Amino acid sequence: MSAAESRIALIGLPNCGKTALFNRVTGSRQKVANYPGVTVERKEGYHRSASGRRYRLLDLPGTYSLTPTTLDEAITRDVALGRLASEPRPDTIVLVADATHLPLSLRLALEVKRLGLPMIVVLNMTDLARKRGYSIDRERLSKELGAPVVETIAVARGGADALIRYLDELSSETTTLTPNSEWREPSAEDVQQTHIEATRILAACGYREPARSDFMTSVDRFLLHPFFGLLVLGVLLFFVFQAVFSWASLPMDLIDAGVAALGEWVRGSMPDGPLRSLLADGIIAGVGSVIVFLPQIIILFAFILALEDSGYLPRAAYLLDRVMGSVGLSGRAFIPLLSSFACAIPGIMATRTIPSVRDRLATIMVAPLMTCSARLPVYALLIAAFIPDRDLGGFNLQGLVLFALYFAGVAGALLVAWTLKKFRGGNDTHLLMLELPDYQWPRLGNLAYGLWERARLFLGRAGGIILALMVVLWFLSTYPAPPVGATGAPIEYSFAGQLGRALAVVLAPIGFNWQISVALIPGLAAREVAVGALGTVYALSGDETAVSTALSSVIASQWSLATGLALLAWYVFAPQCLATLAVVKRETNSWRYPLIMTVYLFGLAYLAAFATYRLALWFSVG
Amino acid sequence: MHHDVWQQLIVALLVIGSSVYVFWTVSGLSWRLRFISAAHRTLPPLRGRLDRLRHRLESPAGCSACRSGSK
Repeated sequence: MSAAESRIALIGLPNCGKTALFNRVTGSRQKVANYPGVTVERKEGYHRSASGRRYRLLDLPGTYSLTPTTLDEAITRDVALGRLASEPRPDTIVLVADATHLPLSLRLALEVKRLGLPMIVVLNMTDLARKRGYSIDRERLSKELGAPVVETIAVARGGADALIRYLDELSSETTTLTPNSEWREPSAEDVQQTHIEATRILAACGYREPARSDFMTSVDRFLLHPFFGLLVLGVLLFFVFQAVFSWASLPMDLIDAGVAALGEWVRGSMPDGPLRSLLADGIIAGVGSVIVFLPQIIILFAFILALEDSGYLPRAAYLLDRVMGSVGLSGRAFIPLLSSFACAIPGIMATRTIPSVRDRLATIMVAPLMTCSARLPVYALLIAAFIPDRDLGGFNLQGLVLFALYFAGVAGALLVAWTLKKFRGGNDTHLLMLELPDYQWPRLGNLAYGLWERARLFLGRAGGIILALMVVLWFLSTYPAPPVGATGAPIEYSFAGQLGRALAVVLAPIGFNWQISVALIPGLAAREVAVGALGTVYALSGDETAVSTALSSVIASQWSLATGLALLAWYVFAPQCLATLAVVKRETNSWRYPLIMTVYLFGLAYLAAFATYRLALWFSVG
Repeated sequence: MHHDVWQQLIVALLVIGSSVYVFWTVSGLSWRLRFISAAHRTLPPLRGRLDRLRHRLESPAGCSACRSGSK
């Protein structure tokens, strides 16, 4: 083994705790969740042990065997076999096994053993396994496998100390193992033999697993029921969207008041000039319009993270498999599509877990229709402006509209997937094989960290790309100065004003004014920027009250209801941000798909906004 | 008047800095690597830093939105 640095690869089944162990050993903070398919590419981190040895750890996507069926599994096999040009073969393999699901892990361990590399078997989640009544003779297992077997609790402090000790011991030994350079994919007969061998080893080690509790079986019978299960899922989601509006109002009002006070203070304490205008009208009005939505994002993610950690999400995938199959999507598309509710980028990357190329492409094409968190500020602004804050049948009307918008995104995705299915023809059957994790109470630490991470990312964007775009937009909205004798607001003569008027010719049939047209352009960099852009544009429109009044009140007084509804419809299908298009290009290795995606999303957004605007006018609500 | 000149200078710097940042952020990986190659040729004293930046861009890392994948 190399004296300077040891390369360690973590291999294991999906959802066995590899990433939690990786985070524990390296001090990283990669995303973990209680469902399979979270890691879709290799991640690396470093650890220096007490003895001074440096380890380079690779966290690899979960796999059931070294015969891959998906792109992410192929990464694991290729790294283990040293087939990647950029990644030397690992010195040691740490086979991570979920102690509560040992039989499947053991088969993988036997396969990995044939690679001829030094291996340490880690029995993870041993605390949970003992509590539930699992038992195995660890020393006998070590003897049978010819490899050290250590116990870890990846989520507990010090839970990986035993593994680090073993790594040090292994590093100091002079290994006599030589990698098997003639590895070949196992045949059906080999797989059968591995299964028999695994069963024999388990019996020899006195492996015992408890009967599943009647209570949990009953819970699953109810939650996985084709009717009641879907009902529970619907009620759950409905409750989440109600909470997003009902619980966030107080902190949002406080932030709003703080932003307005800051704007007033800058106006009152600085001499008149371009810097004062940039700070008050550009940065504070623009960025402030976005950060006011932080409480809603925190509440939405609190629910999503709690559901992730509890083990409920794979059950939701199972429930929706029939619906997904009917429109030509694989059941495996559920997790990527669910990830897209946070951001389409991880969702598109997670499609690597889908074995069929056609299914994967279909999922990539519809992923941007899931309502990502960047859309939430846009929805929240427009709902607050145009939908009255009152109860309807005991429910908050604004929450109902938000639920309907999320639902419209999902319905749009299903419709597009169904259309793609009709175009591509064929009558594929899709089998969903998904391991359902045990239920667990969401861990408060995980939840708090997840929320902190979301808040940090949101504020980081507000202080990064959004702030920079607001500065650029302020410049474009301020210069050139209006000609002598001009009667309109100065912004109308600016670059942005002229551009907005040119675009308004195309967007007028769907009810958009020039201010909206201006805001849509920076919105392509990140959707929520559109909110900040509206804040800046209205602050510069000569309306002094726009700075001290909430943006929602300003647009409510200046737009018709038909325009507000049309913009909501636009954003259900709005073309995704540029970063998403770049990832689609990378994942499909072609410009064709991002191009098709851009055209169809623009087309759908325009059609939806046009229909909404015209219908609203028809019913005389405008 | 004196205040105004200073304000205009600060604003000009902020606008230029922000434009460069936006351009860098929204451009894809291949464009960023092209910028680095161009800078590598024209700014020899910065080659060490530029090499480190290229290495960082070429290794898997998180995107600004979600930290779940490189752009």
